[in-house]
Amino acid sequence: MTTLQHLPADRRRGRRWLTHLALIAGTLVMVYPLLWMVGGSFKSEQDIFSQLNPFPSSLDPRNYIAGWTATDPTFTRFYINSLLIAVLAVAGNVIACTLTAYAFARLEFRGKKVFFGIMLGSIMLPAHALLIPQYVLFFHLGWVNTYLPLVVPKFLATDAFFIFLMVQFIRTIPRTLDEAAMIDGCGKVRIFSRIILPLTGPVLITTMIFTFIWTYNDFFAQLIYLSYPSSETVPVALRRFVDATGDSSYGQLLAMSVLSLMPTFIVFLLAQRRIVEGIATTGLKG
Amino acid sequence: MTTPLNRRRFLQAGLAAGVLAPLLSACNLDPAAKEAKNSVRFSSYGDPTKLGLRSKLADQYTSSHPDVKMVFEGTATAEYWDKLATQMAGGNAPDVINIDIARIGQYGAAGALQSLQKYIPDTIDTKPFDKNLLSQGQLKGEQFGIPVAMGAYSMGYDVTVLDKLGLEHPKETWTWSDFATLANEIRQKSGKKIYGAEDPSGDTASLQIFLRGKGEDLYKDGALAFTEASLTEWFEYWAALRATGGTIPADIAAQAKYGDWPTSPLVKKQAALAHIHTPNLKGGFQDLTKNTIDITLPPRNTKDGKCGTFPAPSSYLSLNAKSQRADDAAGFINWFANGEEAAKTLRLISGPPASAAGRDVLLKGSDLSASEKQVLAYTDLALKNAFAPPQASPAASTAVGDLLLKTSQDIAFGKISIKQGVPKFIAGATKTLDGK
Repeated sequence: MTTLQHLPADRRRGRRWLTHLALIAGTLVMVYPLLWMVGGSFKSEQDIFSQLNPFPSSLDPRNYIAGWTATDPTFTRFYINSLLIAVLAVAGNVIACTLTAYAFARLEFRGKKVFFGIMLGSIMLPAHALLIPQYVLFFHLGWVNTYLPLVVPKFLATDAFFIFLMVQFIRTIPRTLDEAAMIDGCGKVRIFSRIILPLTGPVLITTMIFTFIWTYNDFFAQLIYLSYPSSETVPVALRRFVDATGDSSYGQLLAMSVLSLMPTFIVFLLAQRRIVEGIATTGLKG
Repeated sequence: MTTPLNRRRFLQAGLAAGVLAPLLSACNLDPAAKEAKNSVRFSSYGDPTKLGLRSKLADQYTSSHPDVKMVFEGTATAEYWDKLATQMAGGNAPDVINIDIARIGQYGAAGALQSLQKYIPDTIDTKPFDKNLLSQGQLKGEQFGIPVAMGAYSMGYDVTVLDKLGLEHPKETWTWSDFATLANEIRQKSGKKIYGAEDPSGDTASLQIFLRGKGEDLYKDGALAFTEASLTEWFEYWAALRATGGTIPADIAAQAKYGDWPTSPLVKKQAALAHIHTPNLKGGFQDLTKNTIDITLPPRNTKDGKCGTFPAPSSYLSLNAKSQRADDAAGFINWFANGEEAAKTLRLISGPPASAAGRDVLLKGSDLSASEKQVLAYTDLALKNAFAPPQASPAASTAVGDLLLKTSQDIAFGKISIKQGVPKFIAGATKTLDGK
């Protein structure tokens, strides 16, 4: 095969055209389910499955209005619940994981290696193995049917993935900075707040974004710990729409699914560059 | 007032002290959660409409029984089982548990549910129930679940299409050969625009109807209860229809999921005959198509032979073995299953009430819709024509169902002949059932 540079200009343009065409076709295949969902959310119940055309005949927001208020309480409540849990989880992870990571990366204490090993080991434990013991623990604490099981663990640095991410990042910050601060009379706490914290910006952003998205999307924990409609979250409420044993309101389900993607979609759009930055710069010599 | 410091308090205080103070103000704890400690919890699964009605039912009971406070916990079907399993393992399951036919055996045998025998007949009246329905909620002769409503296998047909083609509606006593004739006529008279029927050859429920009509069954005592000849006959019957266009071709059949209405050939107007589980007639099939759909008994082997359909409970109400308020819970179960108010609230949301008392309430009412009348009439017909229900399916029945589906598709796509497929399926299914 000849390389592109050796081809006449118009042939090269043709090639590029083809490449783009192939890429666009690929995109369409990927996006089709999303298109179908958005289109279906504007269709009537009977047209959703009988029309092949993903584009609706009219942009009638009926399903959105009906879907939002179809449940008792309305989706306003579910969004408040979901966002509240997600924001608290973000706060918890940022506070607890940075402190823990700082301790692992910079402080010397007895059993550090063992604790670090245990922390890494906990990443590898499947969530299902922990499910029942955790449930029993929270049940005996009297926390079932509250938000506490979903939020409190985040304040106790249980998300080992983020701790590991931050440890790797803090290790790339030159120790000379710490030493300079120490000579100026900073203690461990001051070094953390004045030197380390300001420099962990990218990885903090990554932690925030991922914690938000994962918590917002987390379905099972919310399902198990929240039993009453008024405390339900968006993913759990959404599942109530579709059901294998009776009437399903597909149009409303699709409409609410479109809306439920919005928070993650917006967060991703705003922070897309930062996500890549945060991951790409960890473990690199800064 | 000081409380002694026990271990649990200490643990809570230690864990919570630093973290909880700012959180407690932010988390609004559900008031219902606090009340749950001294009330009867009732959990239920289903779609939003069903859950809304059952939640209303719990409220009605609370207002008419001031000494009992019902707390309702509703969950969508698919997740309900995971949640229930977690609650059971955590010792936090509700008092009254809505449970399905597959799991009542599992949980009952594991000792997670209470026998209701001591509440019959004083608290729970089982007289209005058909004995074939009741027996499906029994384990070793003891009642572990009270049927809520019932559903039955029926044959649905597209009235609009049949009338347009000038074809007669199927009769109650039709046979499999009548079915084939009608399916082929639909194909011919429509100018090959639509096919006659769905292809249920890989569906265990449909196969069971056929086998019961022959005096056989899918399973008995945990093993296959039909002959190789019967299964061969079944596959050959559908292969013949496939050849004439009386049933949909393999590629269309592969897209339709059994028991699922959005993909049903009847809804997509690809065919005019398909089986319908009665509770799904209105909300499932009829709401998704503009054509009129009606239901009748599935075909028999001979005109005066037995009809294979049997009404089965849609789900049961069971009592948690660890319930602190079992007496109150049993009272609620009876009110739910037999009560007039409950029947009027629930109507046919999961099918007709399993209790004759509940059905009478509905029949006396003058506000029945067309679909409700269809289902009530059909249910009576099915109860009249049914004989003893099959034994509870063995645990491996899901895997056997998957195997039947795969075998039927291999045959439909011509990957394997019926002669090879049948023994292969029987060997595979036997192995699965033996747990090897």
